[in-house]
Amino acid sequence: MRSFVLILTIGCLLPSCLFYPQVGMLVWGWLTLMSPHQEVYGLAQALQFNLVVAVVTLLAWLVSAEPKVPPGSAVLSAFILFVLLMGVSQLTAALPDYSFTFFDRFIREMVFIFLCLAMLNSKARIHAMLWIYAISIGYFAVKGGAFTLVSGGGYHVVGPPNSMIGDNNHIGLAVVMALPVMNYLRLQTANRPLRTGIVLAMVLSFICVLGTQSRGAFIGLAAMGLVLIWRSRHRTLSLVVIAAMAIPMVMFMPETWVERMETIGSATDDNSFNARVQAWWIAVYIALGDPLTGVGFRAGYIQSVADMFTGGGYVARAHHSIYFEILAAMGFLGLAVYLLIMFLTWRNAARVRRLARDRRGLEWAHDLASMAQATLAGYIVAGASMSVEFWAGYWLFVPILLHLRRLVEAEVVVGADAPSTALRRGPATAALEPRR
Amino acid sequence: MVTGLLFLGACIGVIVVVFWMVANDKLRPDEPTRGLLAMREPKTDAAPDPGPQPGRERSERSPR
Repeated sequence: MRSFVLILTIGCLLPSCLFYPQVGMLVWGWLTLMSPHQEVYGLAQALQFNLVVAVVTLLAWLVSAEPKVPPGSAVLSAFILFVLLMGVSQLTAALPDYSFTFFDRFIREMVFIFLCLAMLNSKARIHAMLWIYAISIGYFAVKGGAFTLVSGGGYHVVGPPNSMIGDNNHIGLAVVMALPVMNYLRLQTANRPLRTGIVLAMVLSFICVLGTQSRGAFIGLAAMGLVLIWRSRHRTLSLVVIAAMAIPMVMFMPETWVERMETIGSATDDNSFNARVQAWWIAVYIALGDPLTGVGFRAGYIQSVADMFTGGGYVARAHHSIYFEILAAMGFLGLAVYLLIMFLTWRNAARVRRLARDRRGLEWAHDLASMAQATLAGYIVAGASMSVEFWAGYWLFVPILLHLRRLVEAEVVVGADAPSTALRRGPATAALEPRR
Repeated sequence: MVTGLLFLGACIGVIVVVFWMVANDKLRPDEPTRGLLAMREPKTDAAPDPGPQPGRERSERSPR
């Protein structure tokens, strides 16, 4: 049945992708973030929807009047440099055939992000992409949260198989990052029943993060929550709302969950953590041996490659960190550019917050920039212990915040002479509202 | 059953978002969005304020 629904949905949307490449961009985003074909059985599972939509969208984009070149900016230059470095890393990989499997997967994500850099250039497109984001991750979050509740906290939430968020840690991080997006949509949606639905989805998402049993996601949740409160207009109220939701949920979770989370404080005694530290050291040795290009994607997982750089004594495994994954795959240069993109994206959000503060008509931009910072905080912190360096859910914020900044700057220049008007918000919407 | 309903909801949601975006894509920045996913209109006080104060853009924080 699900297979039929998916084929019908894609069949319904595909003709629109031909005439509107921006529709193709949204559908591609949905297929990338949610991997719906991994949630079905039968015919639809075997069909390569992502490839079909990508090809149709790229062709439609090339023949359309849509901009072909993204707006010039520091973050765009850094992005292009990063993609070039990815190519160099693959060309000089220690195990080219092995690395190519991952390079192929990651470069497709970069093509999608480039398309977004070119076309995600209006308020409606940005808002729609955020809805796609919320629906895609919200699907797993609501399902996982509901099952966690029903099973008394015993259900172990995992993501879609054969996807970048299949692991329980990764889906946990994805849901943490989706929570501020949902909050932005809650703040900006006019339809009251829809807003109520979003609040319900947020509560279930929170429960879902706990249900993943992921310590990394839990730390990411804390970091994201802190930024969310810090960016709130009414910090105390936000703190009370979050605490009122969090405390009963944590108390609801079983003893095994509590015991697992308590090991965060004694991480150095934990075997899993120590193995990660060993994998991080392997990445450092690899980068010291090959500082400009690294050894190629995921090659550091191979024992022979690890031995080549460490001289033996370390057990090769996943580096479990966005930073160390990039370090091993692309060297110090790649990591520097990766961090630069992260910094510039954060700075774009900060710039939007400054420009849009107290300006009538730009509240949506201010809210979005604030929530984007909360999302990024979750990724920056939790990503330190997860291999999600190429997850589209993070990279999407590069084009979103670049275009948001351009839209806001254009608006501020146009409206520079017009007096702005003070904003008024009701108490019902005050909690979790971004601080102005 | 629950998963199937959620999956159906996600597919319908994506279709709604796509058609909402197409309908609102050509609006001017100051025009309000329309439809099921319409964004909130800014609420304003009757009396206009003088706008952002000089120097405020330099600070991330605003006084409580």
